[in-house]
Amino acid sequence: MSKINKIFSDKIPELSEKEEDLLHQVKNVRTTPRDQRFPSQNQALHCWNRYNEWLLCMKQTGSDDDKCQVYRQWSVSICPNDWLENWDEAREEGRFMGVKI
Amino acid sequence: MRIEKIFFLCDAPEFAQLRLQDPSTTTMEGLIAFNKHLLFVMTIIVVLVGWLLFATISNYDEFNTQKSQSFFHSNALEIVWTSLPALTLLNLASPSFTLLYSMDEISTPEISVKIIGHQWYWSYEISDFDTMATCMDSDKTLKYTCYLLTEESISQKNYLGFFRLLETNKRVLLPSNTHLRLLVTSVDVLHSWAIPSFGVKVDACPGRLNQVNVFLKRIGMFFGQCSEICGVNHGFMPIALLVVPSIQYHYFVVSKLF
Repeated sequence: MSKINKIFSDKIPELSEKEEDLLHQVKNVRTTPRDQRFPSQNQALHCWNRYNEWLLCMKQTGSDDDKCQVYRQWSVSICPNDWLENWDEAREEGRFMGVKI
Repeated sequence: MRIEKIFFLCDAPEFAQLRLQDPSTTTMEGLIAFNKHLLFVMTIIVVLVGWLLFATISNYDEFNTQKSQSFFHSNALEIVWTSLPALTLLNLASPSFTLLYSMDEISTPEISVKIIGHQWYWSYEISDFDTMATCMDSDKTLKYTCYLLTEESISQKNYLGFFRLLETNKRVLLPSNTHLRLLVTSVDVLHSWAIPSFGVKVDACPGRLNQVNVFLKRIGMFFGQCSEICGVNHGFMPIALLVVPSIQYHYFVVSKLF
């Protein structure tokens, strides 16, 4: 119980400028936006599409990480890590079913 | 009932509990209101039907048909006992559908929480901050693997006030007053992620990402359990969530990840 109370009653500590900046960044982080193409409860296809959109971006920009970072983030946000690892592995082994770079 | 039970245990089940747990989302508030409405209508029906049966049995029988002859093949009566149940059903259906469709209402989510069912524990991933500061750094994922806190470990660590079979070794931190997108999936068999206070119960199916949107209106500790029979330890994979004000959540993210 004391542990819970501590979390609720802790004062917000004084923050350094760097921390303030980070806090501001964290506040403004927005997850993958809702997609009109996937209105149903099952978002598995949404996740798959976001991953392939990232690959498409990588293909078009010649694997420019900075430009495709948003797409990567959007796929990472909604895909379980297991799935991503699976697909990354499949791409390395050349047996990936989606967009081929 | 002890006073602390009234104020502190409203988000957790208690022994021989009859009422629902306190709501923390509009969904659950709607469900509770609908439940009360249903009980009200049910009470009227039970009383009415009971009284009618009793009156019929005591007033009429095979040899006493004087009274019943007066409304034999009565059109008016037929219309009343057909339309009355129809209106009653309409009265139940209309709030039910309103609630159902309002539960499906989708808003723009701010944070996605991936909830993964395993045999027999839940794990959680929040990956929204992955590429915030540095590119492609997968270490920035908030990961929780929540196992049941056994009775021995509760007594060993002297965690007073902890619930038996409801506590996990890690509690998932979530922000209040934020639109959350919950994505529920499983890696082995069917599970079901259920929190009574949120009014949420979603099946976790392998290969499927079930989405629910929740907006938590208040802070607190919330408990739930796996609600789909998933194997021997089905009863021993609880869910424990700690909902904090969003500012504290942001601070937690900063201190944890950066």
